[in-house]
Amino acid sequence: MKGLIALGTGLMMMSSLVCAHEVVVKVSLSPAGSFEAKSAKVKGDVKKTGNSFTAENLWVKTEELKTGITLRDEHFHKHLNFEKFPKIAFTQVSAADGKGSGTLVINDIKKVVPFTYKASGANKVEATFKVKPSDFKLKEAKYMEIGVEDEVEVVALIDV
Amino acid sequence: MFNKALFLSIISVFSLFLTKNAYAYPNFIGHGYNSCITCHYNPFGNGPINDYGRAVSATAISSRGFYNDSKPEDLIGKESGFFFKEATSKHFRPSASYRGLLLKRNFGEESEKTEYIHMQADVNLVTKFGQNDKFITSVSFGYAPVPRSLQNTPGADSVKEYRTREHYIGYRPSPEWGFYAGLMDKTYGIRVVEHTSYARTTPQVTMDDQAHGVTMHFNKPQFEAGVNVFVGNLTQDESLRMKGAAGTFEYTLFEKNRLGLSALNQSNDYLKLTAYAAHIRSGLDNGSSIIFEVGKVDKETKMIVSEKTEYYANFQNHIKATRGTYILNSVEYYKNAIDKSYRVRFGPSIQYFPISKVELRVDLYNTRNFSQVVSVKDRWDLMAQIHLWL
Amino acid sequence: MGFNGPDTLVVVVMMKTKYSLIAAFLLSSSVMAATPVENIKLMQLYLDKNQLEKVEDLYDEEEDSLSKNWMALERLAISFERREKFKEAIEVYRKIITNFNKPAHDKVITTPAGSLEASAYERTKLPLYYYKLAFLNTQLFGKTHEYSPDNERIRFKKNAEGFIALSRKVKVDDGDLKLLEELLQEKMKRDENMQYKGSWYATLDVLSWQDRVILVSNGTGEKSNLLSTAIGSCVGLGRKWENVKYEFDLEGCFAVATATISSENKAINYQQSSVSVKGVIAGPGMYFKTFSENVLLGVHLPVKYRQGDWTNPDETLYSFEKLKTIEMGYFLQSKIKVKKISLRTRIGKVFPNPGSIWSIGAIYDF
Repeated sequence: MKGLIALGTGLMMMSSLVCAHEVVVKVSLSPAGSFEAKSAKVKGDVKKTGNSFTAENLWVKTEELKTGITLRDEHFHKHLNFEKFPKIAFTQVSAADGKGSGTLVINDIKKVVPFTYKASGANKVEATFKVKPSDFKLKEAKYMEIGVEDEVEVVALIDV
Repeated sequence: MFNKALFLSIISVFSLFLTKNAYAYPNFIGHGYNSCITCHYNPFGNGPINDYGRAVSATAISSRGFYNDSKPEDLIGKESGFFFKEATSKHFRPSASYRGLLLKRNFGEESEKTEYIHMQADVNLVTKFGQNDKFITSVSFGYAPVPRSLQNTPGADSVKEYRTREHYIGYRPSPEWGFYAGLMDKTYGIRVVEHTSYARTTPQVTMDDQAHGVTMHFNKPQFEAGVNVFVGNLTQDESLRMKGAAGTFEYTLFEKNRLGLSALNQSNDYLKLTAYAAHIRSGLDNGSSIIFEVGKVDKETKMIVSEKTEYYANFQNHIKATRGTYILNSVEYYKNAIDKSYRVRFGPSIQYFPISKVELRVDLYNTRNFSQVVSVKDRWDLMAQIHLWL
Repeated sequence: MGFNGPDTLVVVVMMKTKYSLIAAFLLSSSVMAATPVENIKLMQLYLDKNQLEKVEDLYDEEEDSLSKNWMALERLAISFERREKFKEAIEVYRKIITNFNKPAHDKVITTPAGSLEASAYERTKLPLYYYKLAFLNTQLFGKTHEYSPDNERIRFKKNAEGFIALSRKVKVDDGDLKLLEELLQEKMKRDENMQYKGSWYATLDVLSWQDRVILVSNGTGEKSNLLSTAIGSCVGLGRKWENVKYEFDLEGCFAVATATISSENKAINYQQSSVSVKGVIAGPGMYFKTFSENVLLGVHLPVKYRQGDWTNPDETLYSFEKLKTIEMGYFLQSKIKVKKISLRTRIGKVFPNPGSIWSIGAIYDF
């Protein structure tokens, strides 16, 4: 009986802890073209209180961001210095009434980033913000004379 | 009439449902490349590919089945250069290309005819100078068969088998703007590789319809445009040269989805041709894509004055089965407004890139004529193509 | 006192030799160590040398004494783990908990998480054992497949979840536990994706085919082939069963078309346009989703019934064969899905007619 209680408690705890968030990073190329790096393995808990949201730490392993082409994935991860800093995190996130902010941590550099968000279906919100890779001391990316614009758009789909 | 409307409606409505969750060769928009200039020196596609295009071809499009599992993608990318070597010169980019076609017309019938056609065997040299390669020249020269329409006619003499089908100089003062002058394809419609497509033959923008002129290219992530003014192919007799202008505009609806419009007006001493088209190019998940173009072409003959209007539509879906292997499905429509007859062509194809610089392709086309007067048996054509490049 | 010269060397060699002899003595499988402590040391040596079967053999031979010692049981569990004998490893860890840690274990499971103090378990290795049990059950659950008994799958999953909860209670590293939870979720998703789900769908196609109709001369019995080319639309309904890899369906549609018919040879002169042709096309089909969830290739095996209103030029002289037919054929089909709407193209043949049958259309999933 006690075992059952323990297991039941475990089950209930589990269901509230494992959330599936997604993120898409939209990268523009120079002179032309673009690609997206996507991951459905963003981790972290989001607390909803009324109309506001908070999250201590939302993070994704850099290697989990995929662009659809293996070599492009390798370059993308290397550019983000994944071997030294395997995770990208968005910490101390707070949001209400369609706007919010959080601290984005990339390449061990922290920067407060504002974002906007809207509801996207039941129990999901879609947050959008723009980021400059140069703000995180990421070197200019270029491959075979095709470069990357110094502004990327991030769209995150978060379970709430 | 109803069926044509239904056919067009189904394609158009389906295309509108392609939302941002949906989830060149112009069909390589499926890999996230909206614009041809990312991989080609010619901003509207076709012609030699740049270093990035070669690397993408080797590492994303071609199979790595013949490579050792442990061979890094970076090395495969580096070996995509001329003669499998990494480009060492900053300024010169040579290339060579060959396309051969085994064609069986009326496949499976008593009247089956088989021929092998050397479609292309040429060499090209691109030179590039200046910051961000803002000055470029591209010259191609090699073997190209006399166009079928001119074979065994007096006009055949005006076309040499060894000739250049593209040569131009280009100046890109900025990533957004480009100006080109020389012999180039006209900027009209989706530049599909199938030059026998109704979308290419009806407005006369096929593999032998290049013209000398100037082209302006404007490119931004949200939209892309081109205007081309031309005076015909200067190697042709003056009376045959098609002079005019063409323009194309594409708007990025959302990631990997583009809507486009094109117009073309050209004439020579025998024919005046005006064409309009609308198109959609849409990338799907996993490197697949669909493209759809619909157009109207007005032709006015001058010697014996007559007018006719033709319509065409071209739908193609391009499915990436695995890296290196694509399955294509084409449905084409052509209508001649004079007699209400029309033609529909269905074409499943397989495209296989076993290794970088090699493409193999098999197409099976079924052409059906619809007429108010006579019912004609379908025609099946089988094509097997090899494309090699260095 | 110092060590110097040849005397030192002799002493070192003698010392090394002494330990080698002990090791050899211990390693000799024909000579069993006498006490449980020595047996445990031998088990550890076997583990270090990755001679895992010897760990288990030794335990079996000395089970009476070793089963009373938690250190021996731990080494046994490790050897089972390394040999991926997860069920056996689980049993051993359970034994360790029940026989050697029962009071603390009972305290952990009966005390709510918020009130549990570290002093209840910190002198035990319960956190390690709970984590091991969570890990092993997760591994067993991950290895289940479509042929695994349902009760086993459920048991592994429940046990994994339960021991993850217990591990969390005794403050096992949360990152490690989240990784196990992720593994469980991924497996559950894979299993769910393999389940077939049924649903209905509607179809609307532009469809074209060619029929052979035969005009028979009543007097001579001479038969003339007529070729009818039809194009029209087909509205239908279907039921499909799909998982992440395949889709099977049963569908039918009602076709309304117009046709042009003419003679295939010059022997007779027969021609008619805008002939009304109706039909029903129904049958089973399937798709492979090997390339992508949203891009499918497959086959369909239709049975086609059709009837046409071709005009008999003179009923006293001629009659038609094949005015109404039921025929069978095949389609090769491709489908591109975008949410609830799909675009489908099909090309195939209905025997024994000449020409192909093809369609392009849309599908709406309910």
